[in-house]
Amino acid sequence: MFEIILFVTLLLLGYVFGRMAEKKHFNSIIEREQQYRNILTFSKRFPEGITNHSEGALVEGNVVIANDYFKTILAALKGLVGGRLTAYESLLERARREAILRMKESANNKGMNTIINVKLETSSITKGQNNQVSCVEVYAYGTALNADLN
Amino acid sequence: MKYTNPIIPEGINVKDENPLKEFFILLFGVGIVISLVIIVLSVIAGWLVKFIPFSAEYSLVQNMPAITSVEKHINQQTKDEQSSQLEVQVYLQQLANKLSIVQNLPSDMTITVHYVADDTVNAFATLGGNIIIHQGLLAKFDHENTLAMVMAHELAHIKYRHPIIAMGRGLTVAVALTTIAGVSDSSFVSNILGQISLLTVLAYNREQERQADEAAYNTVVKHYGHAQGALELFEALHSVDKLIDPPKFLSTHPLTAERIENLKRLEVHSSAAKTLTPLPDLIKLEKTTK
Repeated sequence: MFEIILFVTLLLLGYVFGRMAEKKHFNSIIEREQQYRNILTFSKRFPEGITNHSEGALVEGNVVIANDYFKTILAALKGLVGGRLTAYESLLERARREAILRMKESANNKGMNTIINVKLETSSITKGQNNQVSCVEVYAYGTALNADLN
Repeated sequence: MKYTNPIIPEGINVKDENPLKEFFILLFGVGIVISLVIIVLSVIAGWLVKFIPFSAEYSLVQNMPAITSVEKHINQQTKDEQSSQLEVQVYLQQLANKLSIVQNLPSDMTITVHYVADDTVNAFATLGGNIIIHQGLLAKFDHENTLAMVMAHELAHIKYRHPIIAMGRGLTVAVALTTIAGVSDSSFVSNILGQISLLTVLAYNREQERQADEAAYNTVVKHYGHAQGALELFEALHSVDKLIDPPKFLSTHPLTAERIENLKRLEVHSSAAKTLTPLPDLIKLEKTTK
């Protein structure tokens, strides 16, 4: 009986606070993306048309986001029958956008307006550990420049 | 080249859907399927396990920790305590032997009674024909008839092979759940499934208890000519039950009230004088020293 109560409590906590945190995070991401719109990012090493650029500098953004208990259970159940793991999709979306934002912030602080050769690394830092709510790390990095785009 | 930075619309990767609906569909869907699998498996296991001969069951548990620890407990006592406990044990063993003849136990079933001198209010039958009776339970009884009801109940469990059926079921369900949990790579799932499967397994245990109660009642009537004093058992148990009072679905034993109802239906009106057999003095002695 105690286990059932504990389980339902954790589930409720995960659902309520997980949703609150996610909503808050998405709002903050959308707002800051507007703020750093002027900084352009490229996955190419040498995008065409970049001239008169400054010396390059490494910029990076790193974020770790934990999943909530509710989503973990949902994903575990989904794992039995298959299908889209929407619970993890939103988690990864948040992590990628946040990592890129932090990288842009770092470029902004250096007075740069362009980031080239942007790469993303994703890893699960709780992999292989049972009985633990999963969390994901996304690392974004690139070369920041101050360039005229023509 | 002119670069632009368009605003990418939201909702491409993530749609703002409420996940609760999906969660409940999955929970009930998976729950029902797993419950069915477990019921089928445990019925099959319970049926197959009866084909294990009693001799195999007996040799299986000779080194079982539960049994050897009881023996160790006895060895730790002083000589005086040992001899008085040995007397109780001999008395209990003799009672068990008498009752097992009345109950028509197969001749290859050897019954071993273990007496544990502690306050626990409990008695149970386990694999290999072992019956363990705690002093705390004996202290609740005034008459041998009551004790005989307990003893006959445990004997009936052994007669119907309930311990090995329970073990077979338990192992099968455990293996099935471990497999499912392994597939989903999450201990959370096994947690949920464990709760679901518990309910299905418990239902069978209650049926077994009813069967053992019935057999015990018949045995006591056969042995003493009446069931007077046997129903005292439930009054004694009721006083313990009141302390815990578990909800029905969580309890392995049928509720005491339900058991009394079940037994009243069996009640035989016997013309024989309903004399109660007192417990031997040595048990009374044990009672007062505690």
